[in-house]
Amino acid sequence: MSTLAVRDLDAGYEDFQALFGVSLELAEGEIVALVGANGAGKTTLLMTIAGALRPWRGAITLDGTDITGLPDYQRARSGVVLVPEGRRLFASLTAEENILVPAGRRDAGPWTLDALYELFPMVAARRSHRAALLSGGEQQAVAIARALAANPRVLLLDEVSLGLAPAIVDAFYRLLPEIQAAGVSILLVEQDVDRALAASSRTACLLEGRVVMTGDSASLDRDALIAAYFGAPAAPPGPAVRT
Amino acid sequence: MTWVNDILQGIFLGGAYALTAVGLSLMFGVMRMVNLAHGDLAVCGTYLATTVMAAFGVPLWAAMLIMVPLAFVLGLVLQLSLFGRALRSGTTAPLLVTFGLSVMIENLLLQVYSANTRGVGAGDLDVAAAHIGALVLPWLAMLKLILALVVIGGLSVLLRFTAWGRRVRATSDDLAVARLQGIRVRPLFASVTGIAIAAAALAGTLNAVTTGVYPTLGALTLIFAFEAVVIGGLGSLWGTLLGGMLLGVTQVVVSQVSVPYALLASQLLFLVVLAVRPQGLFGTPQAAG
Amino acid sequence: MAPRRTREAAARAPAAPPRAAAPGTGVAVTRWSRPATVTVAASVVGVAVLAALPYLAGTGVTQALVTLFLLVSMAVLWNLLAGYAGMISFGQQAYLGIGAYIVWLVSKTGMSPFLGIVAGAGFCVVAAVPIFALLRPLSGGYFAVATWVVAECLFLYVTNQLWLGGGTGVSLSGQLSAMPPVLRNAYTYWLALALMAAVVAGVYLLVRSRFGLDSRATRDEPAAAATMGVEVQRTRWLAYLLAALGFGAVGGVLIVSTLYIDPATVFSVNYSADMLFMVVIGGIGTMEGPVIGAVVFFFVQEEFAGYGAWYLVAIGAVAIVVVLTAPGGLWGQTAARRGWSLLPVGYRVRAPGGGSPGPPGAPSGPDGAPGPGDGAPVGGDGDG
Repeated sequence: MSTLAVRDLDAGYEDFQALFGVSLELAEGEIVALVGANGAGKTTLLMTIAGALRPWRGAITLDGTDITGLPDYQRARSGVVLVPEGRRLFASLTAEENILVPAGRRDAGPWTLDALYELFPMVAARRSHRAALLSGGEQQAVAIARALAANPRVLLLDEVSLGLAPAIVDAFYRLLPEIQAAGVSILLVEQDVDRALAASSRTACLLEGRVVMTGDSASLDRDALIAAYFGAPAAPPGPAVRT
Repeated sequence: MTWVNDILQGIFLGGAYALTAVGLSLMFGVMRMVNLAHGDLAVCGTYLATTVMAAFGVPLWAAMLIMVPLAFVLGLVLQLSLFGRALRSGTTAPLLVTFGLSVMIENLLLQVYSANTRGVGAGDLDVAAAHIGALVLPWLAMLKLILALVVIGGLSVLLRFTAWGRRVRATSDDLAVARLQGIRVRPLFASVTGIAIAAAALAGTLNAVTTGVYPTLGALTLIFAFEAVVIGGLGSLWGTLLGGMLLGVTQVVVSQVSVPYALLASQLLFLVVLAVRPQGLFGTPQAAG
Repeated sequence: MAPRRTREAAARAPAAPPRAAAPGTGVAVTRWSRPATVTVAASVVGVAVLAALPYLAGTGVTQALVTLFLLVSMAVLWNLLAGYAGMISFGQQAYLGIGAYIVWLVSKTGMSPFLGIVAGAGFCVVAAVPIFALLRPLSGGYFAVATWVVAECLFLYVTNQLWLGGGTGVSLSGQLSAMPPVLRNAYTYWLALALMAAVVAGVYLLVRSRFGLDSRATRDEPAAAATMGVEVQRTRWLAYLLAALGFGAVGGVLIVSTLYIDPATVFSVNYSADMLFMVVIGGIGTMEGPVIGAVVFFFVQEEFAGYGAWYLVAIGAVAIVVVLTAPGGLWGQTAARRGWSLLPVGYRVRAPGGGSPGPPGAPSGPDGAPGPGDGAPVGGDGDG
């Protein structure tokens, strides 16, 4: 049984449909990358999984339990936590306060404050500084630490690399296996296709709200993926791939 | 030396205004909600206190021990039933709903208690004063100032050092992300409103010892609370304290010159601050808009 | 990106000949409809009939109708500000008072009260300029309470000015008091009727004009509107100044009808409460809503005023329930939902050809009415 399963998801904003029959699965401790052009629906998908957006149709299950009806704060408490695009820290709180905010599952797992400071030493150094005053890389670290503090089963990462220097992004990606090792499944959105392929075990490509390609990252035809990214489908819409 | 005494009385009066305003300030800072029924709820608490006093024959302080927690509960109920829904309905709904509530409360009080001014007896407290040289320090006025400091100070401490305070500040910064991190916003907002109404009821009752209470007092109460908040700066509790004091000092000083214009003078002070520094003394520039 | 309004699946655009057809496409944009023609015709007839009333009915009827006409005027004007321009004001009574006192001052010089009303309305526009300049930076609730504060300031000022009658108030003298009562009642009645007709017609034409579109865009999404060239500030100014003009005139007619005002009554925020109730219950953001709301409010007031303050408690409760559960009000929830419009202000697209299968051209939604609530949900405190 997969940790997270998304089936036939339709979602959108008011009259505008952004997702069409999206299906996806995430196994325990797996890292799946989501690629696609701007506006393809990647953020919408993560927001719908996190509960910020109500789907129009379809189902989302966590460890087999249907969570489609759960509001966002309850999904976070159940272990589906989003690191939003653009970090979105609580600006008036310090770094440490940001990390202490998540409620509900703080004692349920390995991510204590000390463990997080070990993982992100740069945050430890600036723990008493207001979040608004941190650098981009530090903010991203705080955002990830904040999500981990909720001891998630599923971590949703939305464009961690946005606006950051490549060296810093490399550092974040180097941490992913460590997070994975603690049993956290990761669904990450990434614009850089190469990075996505390198970091994940499977990759899915979204185009205009539909999954147009999925496959094992190691064996995925890179050219076919680029073509799918831009809309020249080299493969039929992929069915949900089971591990 | 009388002008020093005047300023002192003004500061005390300011403490009273600040205590009345702190709930309004808190609700706007956390929920971006202007509670137009704020003054009327303060008056409600006052009437409740007088009723308890009359029904059980207990002194004011005992009645308040009962009334303030009840006011807190009233705040919880209002947030969970009305205000929350109004906030979710858009930006004008809270205004319309709280204004409607204000009208309801005023007329309800009018029907139940009549339009006559009701006194709130506090024994000798309302006239007793300490005298230091030429300075007069009325006990009741000092009590109100002290309570204002305690409430604002206490809230500041709670907001800075407790988990609840952290969640409140986080939610105030970014509601959507707060929810995504698992914060249950509904009970959180309910607790904030509860505190706001309890503080308002406390302030209103103590103020009524001096002035008496009547059903339409809520309007003036709201206006002064609102002015204290705006002068001090939206989102700043200590700013509200300062705003209240500026209003109080203006009123007392002007009343030495001309009593009828004292009230108008504080309104004009508000308008001047609005013209010169719309974000208030401690507010951030975008807070007003 | 699709329009923000929820479209009715079965769009029932009122049957009408297309006004304008884009050449070659067969698609027509209409701004009018047959029910609208009927409504306007009926209104004109109605006004004529009402004008004849002083010859037909007693002063009891005409005086009651004066109240109704003033209520309609106030509701329509308040809706111009709140429903179309997105500015909720609890201080319009300031202009009622200014208009009334100017009429009193003018009548003391022996000039006709009609001139006084015009002068009062004009003076209100002048007074509104510094007031709006001051209040403009405030948003939403803070703007609303600040308008209330301004009205309170005027109250406090007038109450302390003996030459303005102080707290006791003033009685209208001059030309009016010299008239025989029957004539005076008729004169008042016609003034009120003319004012109501002018206000409704004026606001309607205004909302149908460029201004109407600009103000609704500004109300919904000021930033987006500004990027499209809508002069947001100018639109807001225009709405506020015109409302001040209108309320000034209403205040003038008010004192003519009651012959006496005092500051506590005329500057009372109860007027704002009444306006809010009428517009919210009738249907905020539509032309028909405020009129309906005023009529309903009038009858409720006539019927229940004897029960004391209870009826106000009930109205307050109704208003709250309407805002939370049926934000379109009586008109918005019933007729506007179905796309009906007696006084259309919007633009409708008619699909090419008749009898073609498939969805007909979707209307732009309830004419100008804001959606549930008033637009983008703030997010509030969610469901948790």
